[in-house]
Amino acid sequence: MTHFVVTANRLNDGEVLYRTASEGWSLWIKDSILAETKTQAEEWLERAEAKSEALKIVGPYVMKVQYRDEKIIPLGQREVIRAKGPTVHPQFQKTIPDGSHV
Amino acid sequence: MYRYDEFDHTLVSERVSQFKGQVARRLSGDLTEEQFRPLRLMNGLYLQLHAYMLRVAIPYGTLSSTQMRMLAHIADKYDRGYGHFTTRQNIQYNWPSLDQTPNILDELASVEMHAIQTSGNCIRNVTSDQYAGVAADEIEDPRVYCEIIRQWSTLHPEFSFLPRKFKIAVTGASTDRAATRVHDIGLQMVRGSEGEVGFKVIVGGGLGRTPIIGPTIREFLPKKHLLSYLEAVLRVYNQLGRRDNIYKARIKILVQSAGAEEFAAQVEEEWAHIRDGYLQLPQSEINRIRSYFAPPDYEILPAIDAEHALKMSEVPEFASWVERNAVAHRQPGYAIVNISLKPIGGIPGDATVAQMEIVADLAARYGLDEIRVTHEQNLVLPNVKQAELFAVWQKLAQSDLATPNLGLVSDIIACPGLDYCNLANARSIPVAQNISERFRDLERQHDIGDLKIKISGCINACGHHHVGNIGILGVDKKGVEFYQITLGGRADDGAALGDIIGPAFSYEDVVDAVETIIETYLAHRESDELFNDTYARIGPQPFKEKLYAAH
Repeated sequence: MTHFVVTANRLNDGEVLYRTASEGWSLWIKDSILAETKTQAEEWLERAEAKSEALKIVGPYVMKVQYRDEKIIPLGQREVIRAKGPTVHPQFQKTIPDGSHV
Repeated sequence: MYRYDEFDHTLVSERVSQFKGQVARRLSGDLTEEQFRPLRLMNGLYLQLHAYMLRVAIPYGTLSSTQMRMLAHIADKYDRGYGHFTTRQNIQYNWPSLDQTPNILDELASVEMHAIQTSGNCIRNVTSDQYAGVAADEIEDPRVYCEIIRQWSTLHPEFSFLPRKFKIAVTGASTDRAATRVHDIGLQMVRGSEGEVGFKVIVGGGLGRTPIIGPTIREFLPKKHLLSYLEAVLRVYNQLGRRDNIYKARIKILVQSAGAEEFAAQVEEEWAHIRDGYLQLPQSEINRIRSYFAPPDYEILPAIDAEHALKMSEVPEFASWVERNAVAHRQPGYAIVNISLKPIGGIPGDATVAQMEIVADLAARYGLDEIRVTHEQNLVLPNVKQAELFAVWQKLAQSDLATPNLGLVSDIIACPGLDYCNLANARSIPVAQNISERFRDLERQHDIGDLKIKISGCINACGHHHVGNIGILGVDKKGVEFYQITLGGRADDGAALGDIIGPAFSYEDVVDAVETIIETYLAHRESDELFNDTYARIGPQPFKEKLYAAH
């Protein structure tokens, strides 16, 4: 089923971030808070665009994902690459702290 | 090489301090992203998919060994151990952090480098022939005029907010290695009716969404009028270029809509007001700049070095590399060495810290301290003695820099594509890598011969796909990558745009499609006919039949 999450880049180093349930940010898409509607995600986006957040992030937007088998899967190649890192440098692929790939 | 004067030093160091303050204000929240974005772009700092990207200017693609060592140092200290040389003869770093960027610019300034004019709607870093100053077919060294244009255009108050970015390329040779016909302005040095040297002026070429081979608007421009004429072109564009639609804002659209003749007439009218004013270039100023580019003290050497000839006969791998990657130099006993940044399966244009340091060492020891960056994403040592080619080859080979593939199937231009770029629709680099792997047999590549493949990950065409013999354009179809193929393009003196051959191919199928095209070419090739000649003779049909036979 299609859901929505809020994503952005971290201000200082541009790392891809995802909005979490605690209104914080995570490096991992698995930690995203899922909105069932675009309207709901856009409300979260509005809060993510608040002045205080501008010290942490840049360019927030709403993206589509699929939630399947308890996994959040980005839709479209662009978002897959944003979530995982460049495909041409395996050494720069994102890994979760337990060592597994995103 | 050009050396900064006090004005250059002051300008660059003041810009670094200014940007340091701007970054600090952004990080403290005093500047919003909306306010900060144009400021960072003016300093070459983009935000890409995973990180910031810093584009550093390499004016007309010329570097010293000290500057190359600095580029390596920055890759090592502030990035992830590599840099990416681009089709604009620049270098890009893919992972700098915002707070460290002013320090990078500070270090660059210490070797007379910067990131000004690598972004924004201004006159960008001027590009040129990578063999400038050493090419056998050259009328004059074009870098003299590139530098004059740089000094005129840097922070030019009238042209800092043009309708769109503006790219100028200059060549001094009869063979166009600078793709002048696909630039906003292309300048080709030519001789006038009495043997005097001037410029043919091409305006309104470009790639991107609306690819156009630029028309010539003036067959001969005397050198002394170079800046006043450029100013007139830019004024007409600045006044009449569209600002309401980003896709129609480049000068090529204006030239096309007005017509080349009418556009030229408007330029001439504007030029009449300013041609004899302060922009006229005195010969003394041309001479002053020319002195920076004076030929080095070449030794008087025999045209053929006996030891070199012996090595050529004894070591076939060396001979193969010399034949493919070394080019005739205007000075007897010297050669121009092309360093391929396209190892089999490698990322086109990428160089590691160690590779950059090796190239710097070789330039210092064997290359009279000069390095060039090519718009085809390779490097050049323009001044190597024939007698020292063997030593240079051995060092390059140890660092995976001696692939003898210049101009062959695996010497592919590719933009960063969707692996890095925020604008891209599809990946470019892995497509280039897969093609390179498919044709990894160098003997097969040599049998195929000269063939230019160029890949862009979106319609902005940073990979110059329109002018590839085989051009590949990545497109997005509902989040999935597809690749449209064009055939018959070229960027040199006979510049032409490729024809779309048919429906796009999936990521999985595009390498097979390229192989099918090449096999079709080989099946129809007569003697040593080049790809484009075969294509012109037989047309697209035989390629279509093979490519879409199963559909």
